[in-house]
Amino acid sequence: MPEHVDQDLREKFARLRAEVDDIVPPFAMPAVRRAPRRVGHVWAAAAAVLVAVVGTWYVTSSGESQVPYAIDLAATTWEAPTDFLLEIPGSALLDSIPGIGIEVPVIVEPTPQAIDTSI
Amino acid sequence: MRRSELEAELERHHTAAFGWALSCCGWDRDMAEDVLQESYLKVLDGRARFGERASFRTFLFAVIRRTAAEARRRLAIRKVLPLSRLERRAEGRSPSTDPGERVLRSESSAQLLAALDVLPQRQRQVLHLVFYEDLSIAGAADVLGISLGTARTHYERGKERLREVLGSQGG
Repeated sequence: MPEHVDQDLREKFARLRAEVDDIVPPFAMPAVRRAPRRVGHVWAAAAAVLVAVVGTWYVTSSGESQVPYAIDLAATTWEAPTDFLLEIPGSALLDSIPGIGIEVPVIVEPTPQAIDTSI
Repeated sequence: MRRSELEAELERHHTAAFGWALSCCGWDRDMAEDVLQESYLKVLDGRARFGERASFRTFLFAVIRRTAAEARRRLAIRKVLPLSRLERRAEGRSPSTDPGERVLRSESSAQLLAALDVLPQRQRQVLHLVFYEDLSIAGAADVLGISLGTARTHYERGKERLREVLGSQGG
C-alpha cells in the first residue's frame, strides 16, 4: 500500500510522538537483583542435598537395626488352637481307598466323651 | 550479549520504549515508568533473554508488552480489593479514566488518544507500533506474538475504525 494513503494518520501520530519525546524521563539503569536470587538458589540446593543425605542415612541405618528382629517365615510353622475340631471320627476311612477282597476294619463309633484320635 | 552491550541497547531504544510503555499502560505515566524499569530489570538479570532471532527493539517491546499486561492484572486485583479505595483516599486522588490526561495537553493528541481508546486493544497496539514506532506490520506481529495475517487484519480494521472515530470527532 502506498505510504501517502495513510499520511493523515502518520502526521497525527508524529505530532503525538513529538509531544511524548518532550516528557521522556532520563534513562536510568535499574539496580539488578540477580545476586540475592542466586544465593537463594544455592541455599535451596544445599538444603536439598542435606535432606537427601540424612534421608539415605536414616533408611540404611534403620534397615540394619531391623535385621536381628527379622522373622524367617519359611522356617516357622503355625497351628491354630482349634485344629483338633477338624479331627473327626473315622477320618482314616475317608483318607483310604476301598478295594475288593481287602478286609475293611470295623470301626466302633466311640461315645463323644471318649474320642480316640489314634485311629 | 554482555551486560554493557545490553545497557547500551536499552539506552538507545529508551525514548521509543517509553512511548510503547505509555501505550501499553493506557497513557498512565507513572505506571509506564514502573513498567519500563521492570522490563529493563528483566532484560538485565536474565529473566528475559535476547535470543537474537529478532531485532533488539522487537524483543524489548515484547518484554514491555508482557510486563505491562502483568501490571494491569495486578492493578485489576487491587481495584477489586477494598483496601485500594482506602489507599486512594489517603493519597487524596481518584484514578484517571481519561487516556493521556496526565501526560499530554495538546488538543490534537488528546483527540487521537481518545479515538485510539475506542479501538480494541490489538488494533490499538498494531496502529501504535506501525504509525508511532515506524515498525513494519511483520515487526508489529513479532512484538505482539501474533501471525502476520492477523496483524494485517488488525491494521486494516484499526485504521478504518480510527478514521471513523476521528471523523465523528471532527478531527
